Amino acid sequence: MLFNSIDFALFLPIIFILYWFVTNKNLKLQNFLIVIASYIFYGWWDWRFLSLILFSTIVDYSIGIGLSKQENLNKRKILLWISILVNLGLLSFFKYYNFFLDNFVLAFSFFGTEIKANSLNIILPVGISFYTFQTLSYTIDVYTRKLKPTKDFIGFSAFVSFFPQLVAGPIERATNLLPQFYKKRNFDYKKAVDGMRQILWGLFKKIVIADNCAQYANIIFNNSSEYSGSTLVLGAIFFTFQIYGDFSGYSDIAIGTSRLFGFNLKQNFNFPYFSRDIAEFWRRWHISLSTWFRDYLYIPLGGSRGSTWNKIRNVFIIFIVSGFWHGANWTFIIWGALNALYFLPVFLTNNNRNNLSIVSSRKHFPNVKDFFSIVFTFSLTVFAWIFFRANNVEHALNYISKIFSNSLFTSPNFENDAFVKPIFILLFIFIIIEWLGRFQQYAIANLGLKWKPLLRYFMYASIIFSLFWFGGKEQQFIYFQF
Amino acid sequence: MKKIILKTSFFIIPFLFLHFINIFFYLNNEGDLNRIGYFYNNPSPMSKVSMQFSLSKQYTLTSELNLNTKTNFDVLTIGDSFSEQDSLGYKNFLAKEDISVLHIDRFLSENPIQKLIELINSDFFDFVSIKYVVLQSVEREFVQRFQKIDFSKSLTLSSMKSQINNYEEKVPKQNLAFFSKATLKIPLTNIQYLFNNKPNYSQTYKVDISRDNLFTGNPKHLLFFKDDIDYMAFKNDSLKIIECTNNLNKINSLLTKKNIQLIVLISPDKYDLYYPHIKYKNIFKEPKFFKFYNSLSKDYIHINALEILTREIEKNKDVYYYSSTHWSPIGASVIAKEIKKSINYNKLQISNSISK
Repeated sequence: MLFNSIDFALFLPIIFILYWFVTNKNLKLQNFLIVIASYIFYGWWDWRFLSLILFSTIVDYSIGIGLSKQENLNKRKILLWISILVNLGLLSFFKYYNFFLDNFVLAFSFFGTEIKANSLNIILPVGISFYTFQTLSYTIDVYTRKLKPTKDFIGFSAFVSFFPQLVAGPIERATNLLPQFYKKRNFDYKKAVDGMRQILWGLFKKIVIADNCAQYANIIFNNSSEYSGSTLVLGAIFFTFQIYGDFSGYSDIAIGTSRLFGFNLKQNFNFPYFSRDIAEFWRRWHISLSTWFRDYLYIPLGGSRGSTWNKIRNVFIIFIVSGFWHGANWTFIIWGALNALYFLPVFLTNNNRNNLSIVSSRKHFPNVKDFFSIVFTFSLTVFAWIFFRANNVEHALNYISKIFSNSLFTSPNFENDAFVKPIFILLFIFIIIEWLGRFQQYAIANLGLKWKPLLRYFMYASIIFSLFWFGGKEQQFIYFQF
Repeated sequence: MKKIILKTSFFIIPFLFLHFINIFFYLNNEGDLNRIGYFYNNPSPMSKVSMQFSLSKQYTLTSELNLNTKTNFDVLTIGDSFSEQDSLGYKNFLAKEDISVLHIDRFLSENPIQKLIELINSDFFDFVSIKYVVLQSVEREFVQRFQKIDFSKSLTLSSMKSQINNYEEKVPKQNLAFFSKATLKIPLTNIQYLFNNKPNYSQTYKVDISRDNLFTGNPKHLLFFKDDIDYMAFKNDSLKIIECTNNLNKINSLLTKKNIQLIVLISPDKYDLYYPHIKYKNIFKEPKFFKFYNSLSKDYIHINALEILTREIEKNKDVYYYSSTHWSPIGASVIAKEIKKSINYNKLQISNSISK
């Protein structure tokens, strides 16, 4: 079920009413309703893959119980590895099987040996990368004794399948989300209003910004050989806003929806395009994944300790794995490696923690240095997104080589010129609102709260109206494919 | 809690209401003009016209052909959506008349004129033996399509094969998205048509007509595509039309070298065909394309579709569908008869010239 569909617009109020009016007196019943709602939400896309979620839930629940009864370190390790192998095994099979097979065959043919291997027609289950990481975090935290294992199967199932963040995150840590299923939730009007406002802003990002940018990004990327360098730059910028609007919009809707049900999810995007260096960007982009890799991969590898060589190795590993997490394609691996290259100079010169606070605090405008730092970091990001969006490495390289041709200095030759102009205006308004709201959880968190009610309602009505008036073609969220 | 439910409902329910009205009343599968005009009702459903004809498919598509072996056909048809229409299209009526017809799939010919040039320049006609090529284009696109042609390009049989193999048919989404312009535009357009015939929010004109027996159900309006008028400057550009005719003569001479005769079929815009029946003509420009085009000398066979269909309108309803930019099977069958007549006449001329 898509957040931006009529199905969800009807599903959400039904579940909301059942949750607060019918099951509100019994915590277990409320959690059970969440499980049922989540399975319906997921099964709306493809009910067959519900078995995978159920399987993953049973495995990690059982291993958690097993770990609680086991004090022997070796046996605890075995249990942990079973969880890792099962979860990553499922992920590898569905996501990476064909990639490894094709590259294996290619590698052998490079050395003159022809191997016949048939790729499988595998459908990637939506959200598998997200919920496997979420359940893994539970087992690892139980193993490291950061978290007590749960005996409440319904609560645990609700944690694994919690519908607002099931298919595209944020990837919640068990330490944050799981305990919330054990406590009685009381309806909080302010929290619910805040949730609704965040949903509204998330929908705006997705429907108005991302879907409109997508239309043009898709045309330009799919026909890149026909466009001038300047148009291709425009295409990359469109994609840059598309992926931000799409993914952070999803996160906003997920966080807002959770708030309606009395849950607090962690912030997943913190205005990353206002970052002054690439280290800051990665502290603000897809925070739940970055911190997951930091805590469960980078730190166990040694993190920033050890020799320079070890540091470089660890940085490359975490960025390349992060790239590979996004999809079984060399383009994602190169995107990850490119970000590692961006990050290393800042990291090795110990400047990676220079910009911890949000830019230009207490000021309306950035100073010249900050401004140029933001533009520079943004440009690096735009460049890296080309690999992320391209169909394959050859496509990305052709796209980039065409950018750096003489046609870069011509005006963009876009056919539907008249339709592009409103998008620039929308993007401009969007950037202004994001800039003004950069100190909040989401851009409009405080916007209009002190206004007169009529004016505030006018603002809501305007945003809602724009969802319909500027609504692009209904598109799936990009991160569903990951 | 009631407060938030009430407040949210206040903002959301009006849009939900509009959306469900659209779902129940909007007819997006009742012809392209109905779809892009966002109409709630259709006084003259296409199915009523189509059900009079039950024909099986008798033509062959290039995608169905074994391109590894040589084949023979009397006629090759290539064109835009007017050349589609499955078994109710003119190509099928032609095939019904004991003429073997091969049709170039639409996905292979975005610009049929360019595609024909590419086929002429390739090995296609060495493998597929053809006597006549029917090149069809809709009037509004005709001049524009010639602006984009390149006589040096070619489409080899092997690349055609790979295009056919790689083609995946995309079924367009029929359901209405909730968060889309359509939720507002559809009701807005239907209200607007009560006062104004111009498509302010849609792409379909709805104008009064002086005759009410043009279509089944006797609607008092004519629907036509916005581009029929928007492209008027192109369509009436006499210099460009001369250029197009010259290029068609050139294509014909290239085909003649391969012993193939070119037949050109320009499908009249609905606006052009029904212009005489528009009630308040003073607010609409007179279409002049055919007047000028017909006056030019041509080396190829030209099917004067405007004249043929204008005659048919006097005899029959629904020559074009009421809710579509396209001709109906009634129009298509008359066109097919005319093509057959032209072919027979051409054969007669050839046999006469041989006997002389």
